[in-house]
Order: sequence, then structure tokens, then C-alpha cells
Amino acid sequence: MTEFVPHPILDPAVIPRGSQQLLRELPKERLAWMLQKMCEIRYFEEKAEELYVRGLVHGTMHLSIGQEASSVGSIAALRPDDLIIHHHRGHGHTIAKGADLKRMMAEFLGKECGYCRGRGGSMHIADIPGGNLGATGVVGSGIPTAVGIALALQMRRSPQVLLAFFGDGAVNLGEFHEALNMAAIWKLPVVFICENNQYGMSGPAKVMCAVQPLSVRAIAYNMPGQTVDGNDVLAVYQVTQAAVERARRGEGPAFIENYTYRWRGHSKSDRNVYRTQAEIDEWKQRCPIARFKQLLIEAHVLTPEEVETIDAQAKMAIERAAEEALVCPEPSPENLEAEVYAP
Amino acid sequence: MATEIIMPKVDMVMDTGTFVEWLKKEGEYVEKGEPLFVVLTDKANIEIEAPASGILAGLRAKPNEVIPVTEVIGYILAPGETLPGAAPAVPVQEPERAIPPSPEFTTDQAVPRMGPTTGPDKVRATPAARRLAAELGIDLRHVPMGRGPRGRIQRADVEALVAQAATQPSAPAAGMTSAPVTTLFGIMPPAGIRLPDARQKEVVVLSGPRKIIAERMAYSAATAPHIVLSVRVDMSEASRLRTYVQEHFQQKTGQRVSFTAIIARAVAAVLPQHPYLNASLDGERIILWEDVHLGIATSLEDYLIVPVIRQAQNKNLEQIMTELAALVERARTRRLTPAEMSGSTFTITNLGMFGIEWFTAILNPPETAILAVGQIVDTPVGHEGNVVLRPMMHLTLSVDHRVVDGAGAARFLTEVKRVLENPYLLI
Amino acid sequence: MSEPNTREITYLEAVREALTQEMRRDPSVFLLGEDIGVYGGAFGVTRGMLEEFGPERVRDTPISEAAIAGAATGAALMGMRPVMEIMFMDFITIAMNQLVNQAAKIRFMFGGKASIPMVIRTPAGSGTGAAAQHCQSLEAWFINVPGIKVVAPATPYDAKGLLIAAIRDNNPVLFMEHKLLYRTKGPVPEELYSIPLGQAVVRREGRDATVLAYSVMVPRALEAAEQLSREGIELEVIDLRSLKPLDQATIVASVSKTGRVLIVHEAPRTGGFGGELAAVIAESEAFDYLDAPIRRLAGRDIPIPYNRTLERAAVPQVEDIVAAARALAQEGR
Repeated sequence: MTEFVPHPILDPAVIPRGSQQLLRELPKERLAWMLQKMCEIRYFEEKAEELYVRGLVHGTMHLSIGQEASSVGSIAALRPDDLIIHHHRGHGHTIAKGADLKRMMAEFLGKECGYCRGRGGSMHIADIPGGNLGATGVVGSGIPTAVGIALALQMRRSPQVLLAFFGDGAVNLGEFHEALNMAAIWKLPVVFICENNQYGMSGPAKVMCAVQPLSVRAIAYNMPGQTVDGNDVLAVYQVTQAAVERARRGEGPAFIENYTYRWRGHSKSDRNVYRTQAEIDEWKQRCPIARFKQLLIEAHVLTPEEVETIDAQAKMAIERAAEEALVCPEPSPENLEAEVYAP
Repeated sequence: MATEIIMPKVDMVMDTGTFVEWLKKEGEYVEKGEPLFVVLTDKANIEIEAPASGILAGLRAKPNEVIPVTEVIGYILAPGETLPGAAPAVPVQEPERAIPPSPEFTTDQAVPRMGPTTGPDKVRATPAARRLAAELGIDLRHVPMGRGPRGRIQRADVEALVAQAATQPSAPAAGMTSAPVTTLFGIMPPAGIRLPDARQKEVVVLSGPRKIIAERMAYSAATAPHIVLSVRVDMSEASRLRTYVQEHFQQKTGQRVSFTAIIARAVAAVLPQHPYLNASLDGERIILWEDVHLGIATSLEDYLIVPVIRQAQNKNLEQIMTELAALVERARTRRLTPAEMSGSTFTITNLGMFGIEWFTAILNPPETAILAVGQIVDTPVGHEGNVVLRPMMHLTLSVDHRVVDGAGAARFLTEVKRVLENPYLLI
Repeated sequence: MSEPNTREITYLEAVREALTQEMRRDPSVFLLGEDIGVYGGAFGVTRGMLEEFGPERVRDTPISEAAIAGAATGAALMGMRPVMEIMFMDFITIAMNQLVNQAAKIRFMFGGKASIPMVIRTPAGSGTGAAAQHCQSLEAWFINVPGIKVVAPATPYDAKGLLIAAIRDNNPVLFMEHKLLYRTKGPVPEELYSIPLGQAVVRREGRDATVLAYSVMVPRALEAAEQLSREGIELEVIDLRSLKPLDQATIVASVSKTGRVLIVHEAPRTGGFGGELAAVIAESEAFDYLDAPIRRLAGRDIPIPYNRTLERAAVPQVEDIVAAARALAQEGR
């Protein structure tokens, strides 16, 4: 297991790659699970897009296609009872955390059998028994809340750790700084994961942030920071694993920047005018799923047939989830006031 | 000092004058010598001139009010003058020419005005005052100016009115001034009428259809001079006709032929030849109607409505019968539309089914005639030198004497009688 | 208050006693805020509590209102019962995103699968010469956010009972303390007791007009009622105590009885809670009993000024309530 190195201000050129050693150390089932989740995320989001185009979706959505390694690699480093809090581009984290695909799709479609009974939608999927404490739609809002969740874990002497996901757009909010400082002074069991997909809506992180890489910000809060190739699922796993275990030992929070790219627009209203098609195409060449498949086959962890089976099963699972979700009942608008307050 | 306007003594033996009307309005500028108001003496209407120039204020005489001579009925204010007793002085603007009525001036609390109105129909009153007034059946338009700001009627004003009416039966209550005041009953009861000293069982608020009936009937009785004529009709042949067609109609329509339907058919057939009985008095015009829209007064459990058979002159007995049956059924189940209950040009009202032999009806405004139908009673009558029992029925016609004279009414009524006694004329 | 264990303590002590007793009773209750530990809070509310409960449960924070609110929200989401302190209500602006978009929304947004049992304690109101950024009364903002409850006690007895109820409530509760009330004394039982949120109390019965008040305006309204009573005008003074949920029944019953109502609050008039109260009355069956327009006596639409005279003039004082209530009671009588 790699020891976490505090304060490595890294040149992006020397971002760590997924260790070949991990391919040998991790059980085959675990690696297959990672591929399965990445495929499910990809197919889920493609299905979501298709349903949207067919006019079956009421609101908007924020797709993480191209970022699957970030969510799966991070969450793969958790124990089942560990927790996450995440953000509006959150389908990937939800699936990786083990959400039921039908209930997720039902929430996306605003159905009564969805995770939030159609009250939250794509931006607010939460699966609290499953350790997913919810996605927030206001950029950066989950970061101070994460402090509280981790504080509760610490006060209860719990061995659980929290992953707090947010995007590159969130690191310039006052809340980010307040929260990282507070988590650091109290040594809370939280790992902050910045999924740098390079654009806060249209604003390039390179333009909007005064310092690169973003992990450098960790220095200000006296916590380890690390930038990692966010399209390399094993690299993400490896770095997160180190930070999570450090937090679990009570040594406090860490800050990880998963450097990745979103293929789709910010939301369904995006016309992609702030970046070039060439740039998008270039990043599509670095598809995290294709990379991982190739790696698994080349390392003889899985056969090409096994990889195809996982892929096909993921696709089928999504199709089935969508079919089932579409026939779920619509929620009733009656008596909604009674749900606002807890009894 | 404001100039007083008084009821002038214009006749040697006069000690009261009947006020007719103001020729200028409250708040208006008046020149000395301009005609200001009209007084009725026992000889004639006399125009009285303004005694000074200035703004009219505190005008308190009302049309038809009988006022002792020399009593102050209003004031004329010169610039800078205020009404006597007005606490905060109301500055009067320097008039350049004629000053239009100023809303600030006319609505000021210091100026006593009848009716705390802000518009022709709007009454300024608190919700509590309105609620109490509604419970007591008091029309707030007849409450004098309220004690609230800008004359707003308060709950206490309504209570005071009731208390005063109850405790001072011989004097007019605050809201019941000596001037005749139209109420929902048409005319406010004269001073002195008080409720009996008896234990109350229930107080029912006059509202809804009951209130509308009350207003219309009071209006009709008070404004239309009724004359009433009656004939007895031998219904032998009409009964025979009814028996004759009964089976046929009942099979065809499922309805029994009612005498009301037969009478309606007779009236519809005769009315076009008597246009003044199928007419409306509208101000100074009499409108004679081409169509006979026949209203059939129908009693529901707690009120009366008048469903209308339109263009009855063009309808045969079967049509009238089925239409009437349908209207009555809808009336009983309260499903009539407003259009089906209004717009009649002549009304028939029948109390025969209650055993009433004859009665007089009050005109249904703006109609000019209404026919009251009694019970058919086997009655001994002279017939070809013998006393025989015949089925006789009273028809009693009320007409508006402003439009119809007795002879015209009689011609119509006897024609209806002739047709009903020879009903085959209807076919 | 005739119970043997009732004694006279201050409003401030009552707040502290509620916190202390609840923390002894329930280990999930803890405090966090700026300078609440060694310093004992800017107004001394938590003085001595660090010694009893230690720095983990009487948790000094950096000056980071957003993070304080986030920490409370997250901990509450995990089933703790945090009581966060915002040193001056004015500073709550920094915490708005966490309170409005997170704490208030989480339960509903997540389909009822979570609850946020937390209390936001904060001193509000003017009268201390602290000027525009330390004297505001911002309750109306929160009342308009579904998911938050708002409480504003006026007496030591209520401060204790309502704070205990707020801590035990499973929702975010904004608990407004008034700086001028901290030193006021009243009878408070030693025992733990809670006053249900959403119950107003008739502080004084009267027939001529109803005065609706909360927080510091309650003692001012009672003083005004006492003065007017000598003139033969009897005011009915209702202490709302809980602004959301609101005890509409008590309000409607009183206004139906008196037919007149004066709404008094310190916050600026325009967009203030008084407008909502007026609407509640106008929409209720009390409308039919109104014998005068509903009146509001509120703070002027200005920031709170520094100068003592100007500061007094900015918000309703006893003499203002006397004048407004007298005019209302006499109107049209």
C-alpha cells in the first residue's frame, strides 16, 4: 500500500499512474466490479440523455460521461459503511456507492418510487441508508455540510470516513475555504475530492483559479494535497485509498484533485461555445472505460469475452432499470406541506 | 361666520315648508342670487336664491322633507370660514371661478353628510359593522354617517341604530330620518312602528331570493297603481277537452295535461290582440312586445320563481304542456338557469291546486298585467232557465293602470273567458 | 409560578440553564460557535459551560459562519443535536446558503428520508448602540423558507422552555434571543420543561384591542397596556412566542373578540412579519369582526442608527405603542 506523501506540489507531467502492482494485489472480482460500475454509469447517463431527448424528463441534468474513473476509483477505496456527500453531477457517485439502478432512474424521472420520491430529481439523489448523504445543487454547498458529517463521526468515535465530492468550480467559494480550514483544525475524518473536469459551467479552471494545480490549495490548510489522473481509475483508487486510511487513523483530512474532463455540456442548455470540438475529441481518446478495459485485458486479469460480458450486462441492467422506472407511479401533489418538517 | 341657509317663510300662513331639491351640490361654489333650492308651498314650487356667495357646505335638507321655517338647512362658506362646530378648521380655498366639488372637502369628517358614501353605491363601513347589519337585515346605506374616520360606519353605529329604534319608538331613530328613505322594503316604516313585545322564536335574515321578492313586490305595490278585475269561467268544455286529449298526450309525452297549460295556451292565443297587456313600462316609454314570454309563477318550498315559456304565441298546447312540465321539474330541483327565470312579458299565477277560489296578484315588474287563477269548483249557475252545477273558475286580472285602463283589461279578460269556454277555438 | 423549585433568574441564565440541562440529559447535544468557550459567548450565555462539558461539546469555531452552519447541518444530518450560535443575527447572512439551501431543504429534497435536528441561537435586535450591522431582526427572511421554524421568546420562563423544545425538535429551529431581554428577570422552574412550538400566550386580557407582539415588544406592549388601562382602555396582549409555526387560532380568537388589532415588531415594516400576520387575520373569520383596519407598528424602514436618540426612534417604544393602541381603540367609538 502506498504511503501518502504530504504536500507534493506536483507537476501535472508527473501525475502518478495506476500501479501495475494494484492489478495483481486487488482481487479480480474487485477490478471487475470497478469496470461494471463504470459501464453502468456510462450507460445510465446515455440512457438519461435518450430519455431526455424523448421528452420523458421534466428537468435538466448534469452528465459526468468521461469522468467515470473519478467517481468509481474514489468510492472503490471506501468500506461499505463509509459515507459520501456529493454534487449535482452525481450519477456516477450514486451508482458507485451501490444505488439501486431502478430507484435511481425513477428519481431521475421524478417518480414516487425514486430515491427521493420525485422530490429531488437528478440533482439531489440521496441514498442515506446506503451511505450516500445526498447531492447538492448549489455549487460547493456540500463542503461545509461535510464538515458537520465528519464532526459527528469524530464525536462518536466512529471508524467511518466521509468522501466529499465537488467540482473545480467550488474551490473559489468562501464556503470551501471556511470548511477546509475547519476540517483541518479539528482533524476531521473527511477526504475532499475535487473533480476537476476543467470547466465551471463555461469558466475554465485554468483561468478562474489563481493557482495550478488545484491541490496546491491544500497547503493553506496544512493538509496533504494530491493531483491525480482522474481518467485512470486505479490511480484515483490508489491516492484516495491512502487519504481515506489516513483519515481513518484520525490524522485528519486530505485534498485530492481528480484531473479529468467532461465530454458533455455543463447541462442540457450548454452549446459548448467555450471550448473546441478538437479538445473534446482529444479527451474522448482518453476514455477512462476503454483505457481500463484495455489494461485489464493486457494484464490478463479479464479476457476480452469477460470484459464484453460485463459491458453487456451493465447495458442490460440500465435498460431494465429504465423500463421498470418508466412505469412507476407519479407522486401526488397532495399534502406536500406535511413532508416539509420532521415530526 | 358662515352664512346660514334657512327654510324661508314665503307665504303668510306658512310655518313649515316641504323641501323639493337642491339646485347646487355640496362643495359647489354659488353666487349670491343664483337659484339654490326649491320649496313646495301649498300653491306652487318656488325657487329660492342663494343669500350669499361661497361654497355650499353642510346641506342637510332632503327631498320631501317637511321643515319648519327659519330652520337652518345648510351653509355658504366664504374663504377662511368653517362650518359651525367643525373642530379642526377646514380651510376653504379662494375661489377663482366656480370650484368643482372637492373630494377632500366633501369627505371631511367635519362636514355632516347623510350616508357615508364614497360613491353612488359604496358604503364605508367596517367588516364588523357589515356583519352585524347583515344579521339584522339593516341596509347600511340608511345608517347615518358613521363615527369612524371619514364617516366610516362602525359596529357601534349599527348597535346604536338598533338601540335607538327599540328604546325610542315615538321618535325617528338616528338612521331613520324624517325624510322618506327607500329601503329594501320599498319604504321605511313610518316612525312609531315597533316590534311586538313577544318572545322570539327565530330571526331569519332577509336575503337571497326572499330579499329579491321583497324588493320587487314592494316596488311594484308602491309604484304601480293596480286595478283588479274578475270573471267566472265555465270550464265544462275545457275539462272535456282535457279528458279527450289526456290519453293521447300522456302516451305521447308521459305528461298529464294541466289546466294551467290550457289556460296558458288560451292567454298566449289571446294576448297578441291586446298589446297593452303584453307590455312594459320603462320610464316614460311603454314597450309593446311582439313576443309573448309567458311567466308561470311556481311555488317552491320557501320562495317563488317564475319560469318562462318563450314565444308562447307560436306554441301549441302540446308544446306548452311539455315545456311547462320540464320547467316546473327543473324549478323543483333548482336547476333552472337565470335566463329561464326572467324576461317574462305576462305572468299567470295559479293557486287553484291549494283550494283557493280567487285571489288578487301583485304585478311582476316591469309587466303590465298578471292573471290569477282560482280553483275549479262545481257551482250552481243558471243555465237555460235551470240551476245547474257547472265547473266554474275565477280568473282575476291585475293590470297597471298607468298603461291599461279598465275597459281594455275587461276586453282581454272576457276574450280569455270566451276561448276557455269554447276551447276548440284553440285548435 | 408557585412551584417550590421556581426562582427568579435572568433570561440569559434561563438560556444557559436550558442548554446545560439538555446537554446533561442528551449526549448528542453540543454547542458550536465563535467565542463560546473560554470567553463564554459575546453576551456570556455559555459562560462556565466549557468547564462542565469540555471543548468538544462547547466547541469554539473560527470566524466562519458558513462552516459553522454547515458543521451543524451535517452533524444534525448524522443524528447529533447541534446548537450553533451566531454571535449577532446580522452575521447569519454569511451562513444563509447552509441554512436556507441545505438545512431547510434536505428533508424534503431527499424525499423525507433525513431530518436536521438543529438549533440556530442568535441575539437579535437593537437598543445596545451597536448600529446597523449588529442590531438587525431578520426573522421574516427565515419565516419565508419552508423547512425552518422560528421562535422568539420574551420571558426567561419561555426562553428556557422554548429552547428545550427547540433542541428536541427534529427540524432546524431559529431561536432569536433579544439582547435587551438578557438581563430581564422572571420566575423559572429548576426542572426541565418544554413549551410546545406554535403556541402563543395571552399575556394580558382586554376587550378594546388586541396587540400582537413577540420578543422585546412583549414587555413594551404590556407596559403600554398598563398605562392605557389607567385611561380605561383595556388591551389584550398576545405574545406569539413562536412565529413559525404560528398559533393562528389564538390570534383569530382574540381579534374576533376585540375587533381591533395592532401588530408590533421591531423589524422594518416593509416586508416584515407584520404583513403576514395582517394577512392571516384578514383571511380568517376574524375579518368579519374587524371594526377598524388592521394596524402595524414596526421598525422604520431604515438601518439601525448609532446615536441613542436615533436608535430609539428607529423601532417602536412604549410610548409609540401607547399612542398607536389608544388611537386604534378609540377609532370610531
